[in-house]
Amino acid sequence: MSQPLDPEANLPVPFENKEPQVAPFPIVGVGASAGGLEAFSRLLEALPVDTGMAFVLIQHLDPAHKSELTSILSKSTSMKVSEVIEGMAVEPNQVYVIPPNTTLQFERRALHLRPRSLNAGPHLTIDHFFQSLANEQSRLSIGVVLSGTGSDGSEGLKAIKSACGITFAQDEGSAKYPAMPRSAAATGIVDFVMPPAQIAEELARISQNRYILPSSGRDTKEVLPEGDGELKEIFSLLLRGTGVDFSHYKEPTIRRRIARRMVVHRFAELPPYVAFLRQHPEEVKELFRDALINVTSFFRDPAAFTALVTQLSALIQKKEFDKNSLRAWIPGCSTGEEVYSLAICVQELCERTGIRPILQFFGTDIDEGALAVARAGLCPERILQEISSERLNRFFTQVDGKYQISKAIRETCVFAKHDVTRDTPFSHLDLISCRNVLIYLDSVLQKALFPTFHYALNSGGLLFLGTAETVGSSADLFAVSDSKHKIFTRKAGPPRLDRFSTWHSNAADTFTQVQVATATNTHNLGNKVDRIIRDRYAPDAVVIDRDWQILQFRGQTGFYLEPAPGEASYHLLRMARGDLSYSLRDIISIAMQGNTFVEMKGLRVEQGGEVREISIEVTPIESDRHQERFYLVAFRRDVTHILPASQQVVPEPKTTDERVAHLERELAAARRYQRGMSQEHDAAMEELRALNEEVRSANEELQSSNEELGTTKEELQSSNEELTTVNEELDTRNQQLGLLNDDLNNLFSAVNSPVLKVDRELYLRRCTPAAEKLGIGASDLNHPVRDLQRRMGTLPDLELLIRDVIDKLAVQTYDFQDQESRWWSLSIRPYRTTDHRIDGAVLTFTDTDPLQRALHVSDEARRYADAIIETVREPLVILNPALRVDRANASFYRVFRLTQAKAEGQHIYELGNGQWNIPEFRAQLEKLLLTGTSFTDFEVKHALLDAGTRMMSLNGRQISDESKGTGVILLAFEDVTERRKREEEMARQLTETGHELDRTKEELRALAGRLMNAREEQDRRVARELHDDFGQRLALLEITIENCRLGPLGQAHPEVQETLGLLRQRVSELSSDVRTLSHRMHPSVLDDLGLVIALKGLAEEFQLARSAPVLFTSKNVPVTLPLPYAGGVYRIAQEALSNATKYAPGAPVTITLTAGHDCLRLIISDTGPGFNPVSVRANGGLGLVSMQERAHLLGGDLRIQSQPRQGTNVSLKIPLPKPVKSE
Amino acid sequence: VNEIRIVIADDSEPVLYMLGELLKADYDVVASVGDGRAAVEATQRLKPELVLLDISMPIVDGFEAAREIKEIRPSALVIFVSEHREKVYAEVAFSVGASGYVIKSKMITELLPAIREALAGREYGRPAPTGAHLRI
Repeated sequence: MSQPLDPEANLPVPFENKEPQVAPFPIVGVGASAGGLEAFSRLLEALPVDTGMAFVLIQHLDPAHKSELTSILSKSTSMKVSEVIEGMAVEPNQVYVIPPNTTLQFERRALHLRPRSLNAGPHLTIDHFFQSLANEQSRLSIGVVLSGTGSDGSEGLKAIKSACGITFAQDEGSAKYPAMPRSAAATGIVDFVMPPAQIAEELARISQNRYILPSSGRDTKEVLPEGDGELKEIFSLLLRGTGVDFSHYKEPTIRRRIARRMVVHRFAELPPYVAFLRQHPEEVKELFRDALINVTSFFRDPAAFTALVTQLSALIQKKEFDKNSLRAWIPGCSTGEEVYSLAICVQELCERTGIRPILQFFGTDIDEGALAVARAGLCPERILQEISSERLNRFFTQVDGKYQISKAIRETCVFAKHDVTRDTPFSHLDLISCRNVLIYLDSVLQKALFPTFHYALNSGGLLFLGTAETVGSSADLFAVSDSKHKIFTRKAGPPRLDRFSTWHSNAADTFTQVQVATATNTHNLGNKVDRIIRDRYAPDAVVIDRDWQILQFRGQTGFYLEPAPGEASYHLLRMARGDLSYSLRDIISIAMQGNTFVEMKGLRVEQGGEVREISIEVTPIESDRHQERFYLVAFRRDVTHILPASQQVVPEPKTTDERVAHLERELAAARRYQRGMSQEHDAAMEELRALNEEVRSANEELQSSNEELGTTKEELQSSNEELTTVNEELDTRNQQLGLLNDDLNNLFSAVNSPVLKVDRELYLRRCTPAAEKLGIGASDLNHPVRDLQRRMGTLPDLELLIRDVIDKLAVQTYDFQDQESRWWSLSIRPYRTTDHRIDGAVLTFTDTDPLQRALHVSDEARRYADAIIETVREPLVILNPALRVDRANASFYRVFRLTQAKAEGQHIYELGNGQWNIPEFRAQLEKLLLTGTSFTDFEVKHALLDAGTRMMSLNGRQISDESKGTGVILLAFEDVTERRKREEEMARQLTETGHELDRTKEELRALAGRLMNAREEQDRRVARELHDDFGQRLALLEITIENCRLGPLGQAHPEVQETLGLLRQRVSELSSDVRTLSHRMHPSVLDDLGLVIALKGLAEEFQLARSAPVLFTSKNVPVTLPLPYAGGVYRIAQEALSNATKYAPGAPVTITLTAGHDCLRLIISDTGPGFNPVSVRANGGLGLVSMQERAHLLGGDLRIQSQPRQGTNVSLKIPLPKPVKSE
Repeated sequence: VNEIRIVIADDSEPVLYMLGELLKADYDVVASVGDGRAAVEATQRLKPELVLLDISMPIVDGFEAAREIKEIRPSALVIFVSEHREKVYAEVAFSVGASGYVIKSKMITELLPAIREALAGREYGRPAPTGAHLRI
């Protein structure tokens, strides 16, 4: 019986955690090692992108290198491929790739990275991930093992399979390195073995199966096959095919297993699968195996083991009988880890306590396959994580990459097929370990098992159960010893096996045979003999406790005891027949009191006509628990008192001597024959024994050879692995070399200069394509270098030069011209190999022709510049950036009385006793250096030795050097003393003339003003005269004529009246003309009413003449202003208004007259279209000039601002006159 | 008996004569003077009901005379008789307290109506306002 993991215990149910609810989906772990890339690619290429599954690729990667796997695999699928980062959540239809040097595991619905442990053991990253996947995903986990060496993944697939997941392995034909998938397939738990493309197809198909993915996306409930009838049929098929009745196993577990097989065989419904099962007996076996899949491990729940060892220790020390043996039974042992764990624990315990009983561990299971694995005792590498290194060293030996339990332990362990629910149990056991078995059995079977265990255990024996298991209703049989770790002690008492009548004898027989085959056969023989003796010779007896309750019946006790009528009772005295009860009471009471053996002889018992003479013996039995005591009550028959001797062999009464003699002869003959036979037999035995010895020794030899072979094989394997590694390395190296070669070739063709490689013998070995420029090509290869001499032009003996370099190990450079007069620079350097040997030389030719020609051009330019410098009359000096004299021309030396020797290299400020150390000059130079610009006409007074102080004009310019940023400075000197003098004289004269002119202008203006004033005055006087005199007189004349017309004369003569009317009309017209003339010459209103009223009148006048309003405003203006002054202002206003009327007839005009503290301000502005004052003035129009002139006469300022479309603004500002009372 | 007494002032003899001739039928011309100062003095002395003033006169012009007359005898009515036809003269005249303004050459037809209006408490010859935009 195996111990499957309970798949329900850790289903990936999202509603258990707090994360968002996502319907669980299958996660496919794909593991590979060598050759994995190709397999991955083919798998991904064939996969549809919408399987609803997630794929996690676990590849053994070089820990030291960055993996390109993600980008390579992205090309094979349109699913998203990403390298795993810590804590990454897994989503369907995506591919995740493990990064290098990490261990990947799946926990709480996310991928977690751990750094790889540093220990030397193998890195089983695939196993590790698969196990975590199985734990987390259980039935929704899928494992795929692809190409690779080693056996990583096999254990992981087991874990997946036992969690009801589905397992794949690549077939050997398509795998580049088949060891890893082969190892996986060899475990027998792989569902599909096929090439990657088919695996992909199969995965796609599985993703559609309703047992894997429920049809409704959000439904997270697991779908299990339904149908009681079908299930029953499956159970019966299993019972028939395997002999195991699964009907009492927990049903969901079985149904889940069936669902898994249906997924594998593509069945969606139960009935077709049942039909399939009927037709394929091998599928029955498969189902059986799947149902029993399990994962066990060493020292599962270590704390429980510790507790058990403590209990066992007490048990061993206390054992009264049979101290020499300790027997343990482990039903449902599967592949034996539990058995070996116990064996190791007990072995350790014995060594610690010094008690060394014979140890026997019986491991049983119904799965023969599992048992075969158990017997081999070979454990995979993963046990490294379960077993301490101390135990590993002591109890394991490394065999063939695996670990084998040491022989000493294996010999104490026996494995046999046995169905604990049906087969006869073991007996006289000290320990039964039955962990995690009961949980798979329903309560009926569970209840039935405990009496079996009770029967099988010695009194005080231990029962070790799994953490989730308990003795339940059988608490009367077992007492709790350690409730936490589920260790129970068998209670004393008779076995209660009445409910168990169906033990199969054959199973027990099988086991017996196995037992005989082990080293314990002598012990069992003794048991057998004991049993025979007991059955045939032992007295009939019962065992009672202190309460007279019968615990055991031995032999045929029916003659002495019978069930008493009434309530059923095992009370000895109640069951005793006849008078026997009295005797029993007496004798047992004595025995109880004295706790000693008591015998009573000569009792007569009559029963059914038979009379027996018996003796009764009572023996107290000490239990290992001292408070309990039992008594063996034996009924011994006195043989001589058997009255009906029907069972005695009585000789025939009628005998003859002949017959006696004959028989005696026969007897003698028989004896002789028998003796002979016996001797022969002895001899044969002897021979057999000897032969046996030989066989044994041969066997031992074979065994040692085998072990040697094993070792050799291991060595070979490791060499092979090494060779593979070396080969792979070489491959890589080869690729690198190829790459290097390519690089080199490309570099060579890319180098645009001729490069030659010459060996020690001065033969040309290699050259770049650019060597063609020198006429050197492939045809020159492997020829002596002296053959090239002809092509080297002006270069002297090439061979000699190379030899020189090789000898002196110094790089040499030569310039030469080839045959076509091109300039080359040749650099010869020794050719060093990696081990620092000189193996020839490398000749690098650089085309320096442009350079040489450029040098030539620059030389010419320099000469040209020199010639210019020397030819120029002005002193010139060239300073370097440090302001030291680089060179100077002859003129410079002459003018400044310096010699070349004195000047060159001198700092400019130190030159000629520091006479150039002038702050302004320094500032100029520093600015020049800083900005790189130039300065011109910088004048400096300079004292020359013989010519006195001269004015020098300096021009400076930096001749910038683009590469350096700074450059030399060119300074040119010019003696401008004379010129300055002339200029100053001219300027002085000019100024004087200007002043004179100004004076004349002023006079002219004054004159013009006076003239104007005079004219104004004249006009005013004439106007007055016209108005006051002529006007007055004309008015009078008009009145007189009117009087006359209306007078008596006119009335008397109508024609006179008419003439007078006409006359009056004429006079009126004349009067009007005179008035207009007067007004035009001088507005009298200015005299009479002052400037303000006059301007107001003017405004009104203009308003009448135009369509737009004229707004006049005045403020603080004195009433009395001198007439010329007021007249000037009036005339300016008049001019401005007539301009406005002319240019802006439709625009409103504002006139503002304001008197300030000491000035008068007149502003006339309009919003009309404006005009350009400059052009208007240039055309002499608009009286602008006369306005300006008037303003000037008044000592004021007139501004006219006008721009087309922005209106005109005439602004007059004049000082107020000193108050003068007019008139 | 109930005659209105008038002082007339003009620096021109013929005009004074003309005015006298025009008025003598209906009014009592109590004084004819030749300058503004004399007009003020006559008004102070004779206390006339009406004063006719020219504007352009020597010593004190008509406007100044009118101001002083209105000061010393506010009940005296002033009418300007002037040859100035510009509107500003008329405005200034009314601003110094005149009741009428008559262009000299039209005095024959307009003076007597002007006097009648003034005596009736109304004005004669005030120019129509030219608009709010003309301000002093």
